[in-house]
Amino acid sequence: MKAAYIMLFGYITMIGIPVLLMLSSFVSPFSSVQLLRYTMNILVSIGSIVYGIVAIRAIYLHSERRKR
Amino acid sequence: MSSKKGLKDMRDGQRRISRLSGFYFSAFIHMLFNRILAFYSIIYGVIMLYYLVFSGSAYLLAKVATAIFWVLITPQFFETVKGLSMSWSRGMVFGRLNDEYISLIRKRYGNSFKVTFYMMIPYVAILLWAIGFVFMVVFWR
Repeated sequence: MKAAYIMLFGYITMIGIPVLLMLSSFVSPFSSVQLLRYTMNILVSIGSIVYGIVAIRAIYLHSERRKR
Repeated sequence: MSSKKGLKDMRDGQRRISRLSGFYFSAFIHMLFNRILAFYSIIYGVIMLYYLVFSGSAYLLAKVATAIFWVLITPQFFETVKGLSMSWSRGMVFGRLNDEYISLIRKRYGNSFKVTFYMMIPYVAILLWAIGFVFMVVFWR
């Protein structure tokens, strides 16, 4: 898989996780949309695992000092 | 007398984030939080999946984990929205372009309303973010 595609996951989760978290907390007082909230929370948890993997790759594996 | 000077790259690896604090403090905070978040977000994802799929009774753990995650991802969210605002405004706000170019690009594309609008976006987003945190703390069950 090319690095650009992997970074795409990083960008999606970077903005998607906070937006979904916010939406999920804004709808939390209303009990009629609990399924929606549940779905958003599932997406957040999967997204945060993806984010962690991409971030660890970007920080610790991809930023090796160049040989010169 | 001729001696070849070895070229030195002062920038070193991205791993050394502490030197950022000298000239770009917000970037240092962002990097520091992101370093912690990189590991924590995996743990958080596992805790949340466990809570959502297997055990609904672990809600207090999930709530505390969410609160910590919320705090850790705050600089990341702010900088992302700031970056988006910068690219939407063609570098008119939050950019580090030179003054002449900024003045010309504002004359071409922007007026003071647009500039103010783009400048407000990250702060409005972070305000919503803070309200969301209060909602999460109060109404999560």
